[in-house]
Amino acid sequence: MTKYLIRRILMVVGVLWMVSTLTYFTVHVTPGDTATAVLYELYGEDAVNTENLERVREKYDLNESVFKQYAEWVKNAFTGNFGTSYRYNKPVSYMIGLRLPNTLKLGITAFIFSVLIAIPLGVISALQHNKLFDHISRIFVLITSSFPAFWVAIVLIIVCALKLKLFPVSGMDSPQSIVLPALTLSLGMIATTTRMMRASMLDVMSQDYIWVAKAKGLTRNKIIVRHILRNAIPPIISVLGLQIGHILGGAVVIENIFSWPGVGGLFIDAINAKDMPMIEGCVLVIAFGYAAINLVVDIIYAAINPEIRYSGEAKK
Amino acid sequence: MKRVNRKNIILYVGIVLTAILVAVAILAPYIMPYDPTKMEISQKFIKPCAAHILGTDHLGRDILSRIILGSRISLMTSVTAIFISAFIGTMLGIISGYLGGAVDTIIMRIVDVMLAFPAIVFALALSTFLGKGQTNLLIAICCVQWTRYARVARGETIMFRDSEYIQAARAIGNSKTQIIKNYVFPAVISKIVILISLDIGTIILYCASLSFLGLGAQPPSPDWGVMISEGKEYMQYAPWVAIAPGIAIAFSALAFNMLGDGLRDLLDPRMKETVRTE
Amino acid sequence: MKLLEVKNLNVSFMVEDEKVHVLNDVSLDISENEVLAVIGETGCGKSVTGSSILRILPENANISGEIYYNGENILEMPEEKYRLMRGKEIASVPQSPSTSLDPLMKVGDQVAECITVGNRINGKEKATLKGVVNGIFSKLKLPRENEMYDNYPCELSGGMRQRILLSMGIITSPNLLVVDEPTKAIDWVLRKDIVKELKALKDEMKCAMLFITHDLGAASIIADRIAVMYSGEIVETGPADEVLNNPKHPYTKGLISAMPSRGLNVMEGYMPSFTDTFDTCRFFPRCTEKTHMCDTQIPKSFSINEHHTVKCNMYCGGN
Repeated sequence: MTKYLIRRILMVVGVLWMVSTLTYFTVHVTPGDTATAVLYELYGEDAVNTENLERVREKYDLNESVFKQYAEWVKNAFTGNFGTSYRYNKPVSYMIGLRLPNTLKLGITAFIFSVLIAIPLGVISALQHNKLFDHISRIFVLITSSFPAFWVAIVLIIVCALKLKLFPVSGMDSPQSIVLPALTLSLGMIATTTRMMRASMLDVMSQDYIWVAKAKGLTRNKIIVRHILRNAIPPIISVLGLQIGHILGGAVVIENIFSWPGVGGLFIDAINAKDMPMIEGCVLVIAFGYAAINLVVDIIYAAINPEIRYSGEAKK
Repeated sequence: MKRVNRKNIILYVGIVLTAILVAVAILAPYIMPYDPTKMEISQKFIKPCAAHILGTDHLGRDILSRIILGSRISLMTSVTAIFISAFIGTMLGIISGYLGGAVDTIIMRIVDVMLAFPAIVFALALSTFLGKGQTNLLIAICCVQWTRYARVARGETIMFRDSEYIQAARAIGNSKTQIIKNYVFPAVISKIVILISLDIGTIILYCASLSFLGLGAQPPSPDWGVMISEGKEYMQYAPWVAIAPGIAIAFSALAFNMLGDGLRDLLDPRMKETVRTE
Repeated sequence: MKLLEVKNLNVSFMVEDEKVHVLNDVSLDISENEVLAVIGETGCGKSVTGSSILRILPENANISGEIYYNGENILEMPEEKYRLMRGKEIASVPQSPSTSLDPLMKVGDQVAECITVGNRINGKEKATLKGVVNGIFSKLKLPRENEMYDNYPCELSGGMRQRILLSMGIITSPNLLVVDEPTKAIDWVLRKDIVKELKALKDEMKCAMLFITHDLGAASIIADRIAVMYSGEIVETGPADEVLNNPKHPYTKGLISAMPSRGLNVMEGYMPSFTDTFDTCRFFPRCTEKTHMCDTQIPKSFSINEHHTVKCNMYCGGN
């Protein structure tokens, strides 16, 4: 078990290191002069002249070679310093620290929404296998997974915010303002989680030990709770971990539409402004969050599965 | 003797919807009622009516015509992206699985890195490097998508590599390339085909999201994502501008999702829902 | 009165809108303290017979006929009433020890479950339960008897899991035990021991047993009577030694001469598929003793003597 964890953690660290390197070099070999972009973004077109360009290059160490800059960046990154945003002229870590809680708030709400809807839906579908409820839920899943989230967001704004005036259009000024973005964000996850929950339930229900449980004379409810759900849920935990990736990715788009002040919006702005340190910071934070969540998921999975506890290997 | 039953209905509906979609894309120039690029400011924001079934946008262009022409962009991009990434992924996956060792480690570590991001974040980061435009959007999608096929192809290859069937092929003197070409590839390809049919819907949505964010085709191209992005500005007084292209996207994604689901049930019931997790 | 009497049991499954007939007019009976072995190839419907008696068939199953337990037709009993009998009066030992235990539950708890249903044991305290379970474990000579309770199935060997399953069957001291292929997953050398142990347990508990197997050797050790099943039909029933030493049905003869100790002469051909329809004897294509009438006539049951019946045209004398 400990061995398994150490191996997983080392793998995550390795992957994150490669991620950061890759991002750094990808972003830094970008065509177009960074200094020009910075001046343009901060002071407008008129400020772009040789003298200012030199000053900017000096300030952000842009005259050094890419490798030297990289070494410097790695050194700083370890202390939580991701450099200074060209656009906001503030430390990247400060900006991300300001916005991250909002993304977490949105992501967690969306996650809860989707779990609360998808898990019961999947469970009931499986228990009603091939009956009406199952067919309706399958169609529901097919349809929800076919609508683009950003469009659903716009339709929700038009209907619920503009026409019915139930929720605010954007921002996060009132507690209700989280409802529409979180709902949109959870939609994509609901489809996959429902499918997987249903499949996992059906798989367990066809196992021999369920036959044995019936042969013992257990009540249907006891069989469902003690044997079916207990075995059907662990695989879903891994699925949920992967789904968080969709939430993080979706947040980039959804925050943009609802003007939700999170990391996603920051990321898009950074891309449009060619704000390199900010892009790198955002990518790293998202990759780190994703990796950390999946690591936690793996640990939970290992903790509840005696087979891994026993052999140190995940049966995939 | 397979009769039509409830299971197959999804497949048949999928085939019909996909056929409609493809027909619209091919016949686009003949069936669009107006020139989709023709601007008439005097005609802007006309509500859906008999003359303009889906209304007009902020530049007075007919939305229906734009959607019809846009189907070409959507289909071309997604289908091209999926075939390129399936090709690259399958090749690398087979090589990785068959050769093992250092080659396998390198390829799989690259896959791990790719999977460390939510796909859209990776594509966005890549776009800072590549710049905007339809071709770059295509490249960005391929860069992310190939990993999926590589993993499946690798897994299948490893399963086949040690089978008696391949051992026999080796014993009768086939070279590595011959074995891969004549034995491994045909065995792996069926899974990949199912995966492709399941993925097209997702890729359509994915292309749409990226062009919505401004990474793909640029205005005035009648790309569905771009149209929604433009329409978003006017959603208060002209909601139809943003709503109509979204329904087109959903229609095509649904068509392919149903086709993929139906095909999977037909060809490989064992695969069930599992492949979707990756 | 017989303990269990199955009369004209028919079971079919709906698969993709097609009806698959699996059991065809199966009739058998078991007296108290008697072991009836049901013998047949894999897929002949033996296990479905067992599941039908326990009334645990998949939802797409269609069942008709009568199953009397102590004179009561259990197929007409309300589910709730039968549920309390299942596991208590009619218990079972499933096949495949590797998949029949819940991988996420301690084996002790899984055995304890059998006796917590419907207050089968007074005082549900954990300690009492554990004591009873451990008692069964030591009776079955499971090693590490006091630690065994807290093990998960993945920590046990196949043989130990088999014993855990066995303990689930006997912990409630049932009147009838349905044992499905207990020797399937066991090494050749150990098979005889397991069967002998079963026999000893059965004698001690004084229960009747439906012993489902494809292994004639195992059946010869434990069975009082043998029923031979082919393609969903019982083709021969009789006292064990009579069936083994003086088989009447060509299929039984074939099975016996295929035994390793009797020359390993394996029969040719395969059992027909359940989707086929029959207008001849089901064994006709493989039969080595077929006569002119087998072509046209579906055989009926014929009594060789009071205890021995066979379903073959050879004995019906043409009608």
